[in-house]
Amino acid sequence: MSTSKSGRRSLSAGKRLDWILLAPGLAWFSIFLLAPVGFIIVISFFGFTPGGYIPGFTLEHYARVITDPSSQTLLLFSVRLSLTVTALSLLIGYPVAYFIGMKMKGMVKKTLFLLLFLTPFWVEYSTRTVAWLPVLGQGGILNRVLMGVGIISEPSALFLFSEFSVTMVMVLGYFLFMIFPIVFAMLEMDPTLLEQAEVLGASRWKAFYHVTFKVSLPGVVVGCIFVFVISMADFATPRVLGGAVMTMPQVVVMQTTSAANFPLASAYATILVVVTMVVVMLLLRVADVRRLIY
Amino acid sequence: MTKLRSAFTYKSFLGGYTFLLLLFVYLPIVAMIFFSFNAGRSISFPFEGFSTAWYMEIFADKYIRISVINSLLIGVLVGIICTLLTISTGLVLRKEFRGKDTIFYFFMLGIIFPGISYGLGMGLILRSAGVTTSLLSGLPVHSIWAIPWCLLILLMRFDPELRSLEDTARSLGANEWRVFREVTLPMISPQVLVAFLFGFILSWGELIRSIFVLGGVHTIPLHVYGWVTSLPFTPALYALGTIIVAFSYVVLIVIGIFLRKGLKVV
Repeated sequence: MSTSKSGRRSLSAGKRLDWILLAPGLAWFSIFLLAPVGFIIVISFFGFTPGGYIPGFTLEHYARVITDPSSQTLLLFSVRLSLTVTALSLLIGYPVAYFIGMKMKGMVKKTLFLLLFLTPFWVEYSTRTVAWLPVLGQGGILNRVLMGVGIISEPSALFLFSEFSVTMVMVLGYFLFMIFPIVFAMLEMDPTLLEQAEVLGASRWKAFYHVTFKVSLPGVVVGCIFVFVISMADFATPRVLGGAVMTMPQVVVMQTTSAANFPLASAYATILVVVTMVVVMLLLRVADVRRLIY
Repeated sequence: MTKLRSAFTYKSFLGGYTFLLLLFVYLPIVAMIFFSFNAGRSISFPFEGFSTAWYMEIFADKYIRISVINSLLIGVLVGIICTLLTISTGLVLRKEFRGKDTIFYFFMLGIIFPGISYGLGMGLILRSAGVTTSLLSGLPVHSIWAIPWCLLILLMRFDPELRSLEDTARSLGANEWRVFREVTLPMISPQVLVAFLFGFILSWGELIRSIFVLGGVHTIPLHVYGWVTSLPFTPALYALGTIIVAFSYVVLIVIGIFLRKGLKVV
């Protein structure tokens, strides 16, 4: 490195320092993220032996997943559940994000409100799931309130150990991942834009769609990615609250721990990676999310 | 006049909706805290009187003590790894250069790839290599999960003025190390702490990625998951949950204070 007094440094010296700073992170992620994912992809083509694998090349595990009706149902159900959770999170989260991002004044107030939504997330994951039992159970709070109001006449068992309970608990657990990016996107907005739209004679809905919604779109995309990805990987919620409901991650765990069928578990895990990547890439085409982050 | 009134009701409708949702989100937590004091064995109605016996049971439980120590240990270690890698990566990623997007998305794969998939991969690699799983084997997967979140927070919180201050220091003849130590580091110190705390708390709650790599080592989430899936629930579970909430809130308040400091810098 040249030590010129003027402070004018060669471009390559700065570049070199940048790469030195990037190297540890890149190495860490290559070894501990790419290698494990590469490993399960390889293992998913290996033959099965209890508690191990036989090196080789076979498509039998994928064939089993694709041809077995129960595996098909499982895959479709997992994707549908995650998509439903994502859509519902957007539906119930957007108005909240809009309220915090657009209607609240002052950064401190906004931050405090966001933190208020954030805090339940830090309750230990399995405990938080179990804590829904006194709310959703037959003698639970929800049934009592609905009976008190007179909407239902006797306690309903439908609220628990069903697709409903899994979907609802996941939505209420994860919609804050939708709120955060949308609020951040809205913070970037020029507040005079809405006034301009009004001056130009746009109706409230038109102004909302063309100004607010368009500005918030990168936030919506990032939020959808977060919620979808996290829902896809969730396995304690269906395990505790789902009753007969079964999702892909649960099967990965079962195939690994009780069946000790590592190649099949790897095939499931690989499909999970592929499905997630496809959905994320589709979502990233909707809006340019870079502006939101840097 | 009518327009003003409609705008007012519209806003209060949104506010009411937000409040209602917040209420629903907190409902299970309130239920958990309430039933943790149940004298009976039920985690739901009926409530049979006030008791702190379940808390005593938690404090006396040896396995919970071990789990807490393990979780604290791995949390602190993940926090340190997270801080170092997030800061060094973030310092470069805030600049414009070719290939920046690719590198950014590469790090985001830690969030995008399903945790269960790379958790399984890591577990199988360790198994194939004959490595005995321990607390340390959880470090890689925990940090892979936590670093992207810290990086996002860091990149969104970088002060736009920081770059020009650094350039000023450089033009005054300071070398890169001095610029980092005397300009960059003092200005990003709130973010450094937030990165550490986020790394810690994400590791503290991590279950999905831990199942295959921690083996017999108990952390709080693994212990509770084992409890929830094998034994009948007692209010002791809620007592533990309540203690963890109280602890998490302390950490979050610290994060909040430092984020506010960070905002004041901007």
